[in-house]
Amino acid sequence: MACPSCGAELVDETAICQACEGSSSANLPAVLPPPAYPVRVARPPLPSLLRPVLPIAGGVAAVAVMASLAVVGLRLRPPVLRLPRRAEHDSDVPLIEIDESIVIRTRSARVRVR
Amino acid sequence: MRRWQLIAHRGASADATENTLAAFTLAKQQGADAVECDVRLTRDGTPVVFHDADLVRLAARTERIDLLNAAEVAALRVGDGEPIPTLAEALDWSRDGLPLVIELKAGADPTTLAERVATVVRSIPAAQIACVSSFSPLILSAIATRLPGVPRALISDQPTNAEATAGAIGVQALHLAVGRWLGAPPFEPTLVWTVDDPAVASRLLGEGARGIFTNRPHLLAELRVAA
Repeated sequence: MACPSCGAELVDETAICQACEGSSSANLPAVLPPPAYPVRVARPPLPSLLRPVLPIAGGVAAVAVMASLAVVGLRLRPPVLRLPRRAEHDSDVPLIEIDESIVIRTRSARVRVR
Repeated sequence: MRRWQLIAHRGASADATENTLAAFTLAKQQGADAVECDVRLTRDGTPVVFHDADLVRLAARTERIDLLNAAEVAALRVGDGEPIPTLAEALDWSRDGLPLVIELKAGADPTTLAERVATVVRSIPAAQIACVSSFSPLILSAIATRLPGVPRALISDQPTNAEATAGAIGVQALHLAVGRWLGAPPFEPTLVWTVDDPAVASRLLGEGARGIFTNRPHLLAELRVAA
């Protein structure tokens, strides 16, 4: 087959013509795609040594962040004094009806009973 | 339209035998800004201007160019009886001609090729060189250390990795196959090969190409006049 652009003999019909390397050859059917054709810009690949390390490092970082948040949360939460909802009549403890809204002040801490 | 480079592909190769001084001179007459030429080494290490690995297409002979001595190549005739120029002769022509885009063809040892070409370039100080180009990053890297002041360009027909490769080896331009153009330059500047249709060239330039390689400089020179 001859190149339709320059007439040179094509050794490989699917390859670029060695004589003209031209754009109008029939062996280059998709010379120019439509203008809106998406452009893909290749990113340089990661160094091979980093590939297995990155997921592990990401997981460790996520666990560390969650642990830090948990510690901060524990410190911010006020201490809770757990009392029996109703004391026995014959005990030394006075009968107290404890509502969920009652807040007891002690010498050491401000506690909320629930 | 921005300033762009009109580069004659192997000279005005549609109207004269490619890679000959006659084709280069005609390219200048047709309005090209620069001339692209292909360089290979002979068996004795002389850089000569020739595209193919063998003589079949241009001289109807079966020998490989890298298996002939420089004297044997000098005796050959191509096309209408034109001699195959050495790189030194092409560079000498460029002094009063046009800047050369010197494409170094792969095949020879990159270090040897770069060393031989650099030696010739240094021997002709008034030569005009637009850039040295190659498909081979190894050759371009070898040239960088030997001709540090000469711009280099990566030739590619793969737009998806061209940008990364060009950036990695630090070239100044990308020469991209027209069939791999995706509507925008993947590297700045990108020049496109090989376009003989003014309508196609006009569109490429409108989409950001900074230069066109053509076999028919006179057709594309009309774009410049029209602009």
